[in-house]
Amino acid sequence: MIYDIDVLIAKLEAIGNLPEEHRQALRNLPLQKASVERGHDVVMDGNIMTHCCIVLSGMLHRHKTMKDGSRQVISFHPAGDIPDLQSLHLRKVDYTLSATTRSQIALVEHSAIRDMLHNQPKLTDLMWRDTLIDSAKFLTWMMLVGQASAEARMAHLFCEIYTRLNAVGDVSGYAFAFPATQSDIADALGMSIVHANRTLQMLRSESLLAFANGQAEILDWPRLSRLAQFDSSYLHLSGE
Amino acid sequence: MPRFYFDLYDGENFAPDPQGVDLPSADIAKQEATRTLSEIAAQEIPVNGSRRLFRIVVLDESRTIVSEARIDFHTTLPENTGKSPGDRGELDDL
Repeated sequence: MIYDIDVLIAKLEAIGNLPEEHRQALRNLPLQKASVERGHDVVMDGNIMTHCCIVLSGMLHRHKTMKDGSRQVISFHPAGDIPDLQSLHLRKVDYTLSATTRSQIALVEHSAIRDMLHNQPKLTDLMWRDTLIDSAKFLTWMMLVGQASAEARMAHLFCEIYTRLNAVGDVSGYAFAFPATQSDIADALGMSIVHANRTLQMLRSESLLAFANGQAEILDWPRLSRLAQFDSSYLHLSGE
Repeated sequence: MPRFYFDLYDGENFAPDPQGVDLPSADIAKQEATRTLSEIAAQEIPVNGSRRLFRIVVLDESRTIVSEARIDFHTTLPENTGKSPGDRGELDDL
């Protein structure tokens, strides 16, 4: 039988061990499913949360906005992610979570997650690991946004998304869905939209990466990952 | 939203913008051009030489120029400062 929660199970299995009793516990979580349109907010900065959100399909992203309106996209979340898992312990959220594209999500009450972790204490280790990997991604992104060239930042973003999607089997060869807009990508990489477009055009003209209408294809992984100085160890996919 | 095109000359190549970007107004397009120019110059100048001209022309949907921005970068040593850079006429090379 196929469960909605299986996308989360696939994601957790990509970062650690998930014995059958843990899979069962996850499948028993009560889910409140919802559909969100592109651009709509799922969680807003300052909200006090009583539930977490699992991405079932599509993609969400977290972002923060300065008082002057400048926006930084801080992370993209494909199916299987729980982008606001921290809200279990930090109930007042300090970011906004929005739909990158039309997405299916499942809301899970904090109390249900707590009960599950109380009954399956070892599952807490995996949830903790997931949160730590989330922060490990931020370390790498801080370095990139501060230090890397525009081409390297762009290349790195696509290397990361590919690697994460590949870990859960959501790629077809080197092609994958990345439904972010020009503006989402520019705001994630800290560059203007025009600069982001120009950078994508350069990667395309060098036969490294094709990206149009939310569909990406890495044309030359060795060269693209070398340009990005991409080292996937920060994603901790090996279970080490 | 109207679409604007940002043609870029980076001192070596002229790159017309085939795609364009939808933006609320010509004023926002001008800001976008300014930011892009400064980002590209900030990356390119340190790796490529002491003399570099960057120029962005913003066009609207009918390909009429709505604004233009340029950064003309020089470094000069004290003994070479007899003339001001603008006197040398390099800008006319475009």
